[in-house]
Amino acid sequence: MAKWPKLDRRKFLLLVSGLGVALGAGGVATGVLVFSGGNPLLPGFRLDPDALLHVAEKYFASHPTEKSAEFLERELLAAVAPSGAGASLVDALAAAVRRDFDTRNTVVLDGWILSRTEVRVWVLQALK
Amino acid sequence: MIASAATTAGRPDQPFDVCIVGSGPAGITVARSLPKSLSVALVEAGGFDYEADSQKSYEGDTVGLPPDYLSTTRSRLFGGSSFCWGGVCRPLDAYDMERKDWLPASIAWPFGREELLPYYDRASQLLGLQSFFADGRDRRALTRDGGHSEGLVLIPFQHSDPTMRFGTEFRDELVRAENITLFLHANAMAFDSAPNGDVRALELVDKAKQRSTISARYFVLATGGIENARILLNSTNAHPAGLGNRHDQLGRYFMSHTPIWGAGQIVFADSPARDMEGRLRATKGRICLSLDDDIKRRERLLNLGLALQYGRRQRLYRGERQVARLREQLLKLGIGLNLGAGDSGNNDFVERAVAGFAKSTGQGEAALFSFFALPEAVPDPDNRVTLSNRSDDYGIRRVSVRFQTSEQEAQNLERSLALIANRLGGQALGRVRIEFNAHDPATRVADQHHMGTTRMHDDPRRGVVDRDCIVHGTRNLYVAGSSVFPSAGFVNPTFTIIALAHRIADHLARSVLHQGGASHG
Repeated sequence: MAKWPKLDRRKFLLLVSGLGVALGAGGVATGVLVFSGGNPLLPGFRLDPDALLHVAEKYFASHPTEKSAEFLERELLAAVAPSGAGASLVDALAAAVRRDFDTRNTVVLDGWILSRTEVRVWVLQALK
Repeated sequence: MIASAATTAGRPDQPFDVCIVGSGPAGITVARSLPKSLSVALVEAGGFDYEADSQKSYEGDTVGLPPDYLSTTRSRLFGGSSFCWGGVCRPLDAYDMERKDWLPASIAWPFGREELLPYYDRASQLLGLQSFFADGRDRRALTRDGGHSEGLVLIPFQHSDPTMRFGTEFRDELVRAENITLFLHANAMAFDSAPNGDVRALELVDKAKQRSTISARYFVLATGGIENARILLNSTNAHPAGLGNRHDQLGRYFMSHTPIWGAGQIVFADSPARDMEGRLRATKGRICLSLDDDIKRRERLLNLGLALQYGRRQRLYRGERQVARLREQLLKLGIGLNLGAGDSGNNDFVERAVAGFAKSTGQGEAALFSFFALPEAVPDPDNRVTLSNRSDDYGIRRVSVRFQTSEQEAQNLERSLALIANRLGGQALGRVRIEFNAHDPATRVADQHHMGTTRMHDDPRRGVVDRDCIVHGTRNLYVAGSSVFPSAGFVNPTFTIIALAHRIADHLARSVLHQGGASHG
């Protein structure tokens, strides 16, 4: 399986935080996030900034060992690795999100049942 | 014709062809569906209008239910509990009627769903509904842009609109019917039966506490899921444990649905959301999301419907805008108030994010639906109707009803919800938020659906009535209503009650006519 090229942290964060723009306008508001309606896989990375902070606060409270940009970056890179280097980051993350649900690798935040990968993307942005 | 129970009861030498006890949706449907050549006694404990004194006879003892449950979840008057019916209609699923071998008390219906299809269509006609089975209306896979979907289905309900109140709708017709004699304020005490199982007469007591009997060749007991058991348990002249109770099945397996209001929210991706909104408009607000039957079988899950609510999203959005405007005006005046949603002091992320989203994007198409959860009712032999030591004003022993939900049901519910959430997420269809604790018994409160106390099974050791709804050990006593349901799925029972009543009427008509035809009338 091809691996994602080594990204430096700054570049990765820029990519992740730029996903909201990449996914386009329009979408659906929920408790903690705004799902993008433009993305067929609904990874939903565009966030109300205040809500994002609440997500991070809640997640780190229950997962204190993950309060580290390095850790999150490493986990996210591992999550997207199965898609191979040829895939866009958006597609690779979307596939990781879908895989999370298929394998029940989910997190419950404020009642929402969410993919662990998508939550890690959000909280990484909060750490930024 | 309306008659007084005390003066006009059928004489033993001139019995009615059929005596129907109870004038709710089941009893009235049977009465209207029988051939006009048959003489019919239709017996109702109440009058044409609600009467508090009559309703009091429903009171009894409860365990695991609110003290007033028995008197507030049914209606004792002509038309019966159609007066507390919400009008929601939906056939049972095939899965509902199967035996679940991992559920100890589960039994299959004696026949499959296809047996009921023509009767469901007759129920649809009666209620002015479209057939559920034409043009694939029964259910539809939830898909994105028409693509393949695995495991999730949309299940539409229809509404009787306005809700049919059987007592109002059919009063004139039944009073005028030449073959029907209507007995009001006639409280059924017990059946008089012979040791060979023939039911000879119905014993009554009227408002003035005068006793009488009605003789008939056939009887139909249609007094609701609790009263059906009560009357049979009180029928002890030839069977000390009650009629049809040779194997201690009578009154057991009492089921009720336990809807969970405000159970959660689902956000749908654009395409399914648009599809959903159209369907919700078409069905006047009730459509359920569920797992498909194959998954439920494989995962050993009870049935579960998540009833989506379209209106809530709209109200939520408009409310947010109003709150935001009001807050801005107040802040201009130097007044800061916690106005709920959207306020900085409020920690409800949902409301905050919706407000924030609406303001930042100006889009009102947030596909956020609230839902309430409708778990399948589960048979349990310990949930049962028995007789209380107390009697009502007419001297008829009251009931005691026990009902409790199990931890197994809670775990099963959680697994179903997780699977639905994972299917939605895995197929990029949406996300689910759960807002209740399935393990909290206070979450799961019985509703007004009373089912399962005289359940249907061909083996008298496992049921009270046979596949034709005739009480085991008798030859001429039918039971109509949801008390015969071996299982109940998650759908409202009245539609199936009406379908089964049509089926009983057909069987009864054949029985009467094959045994010498109508006796008089």
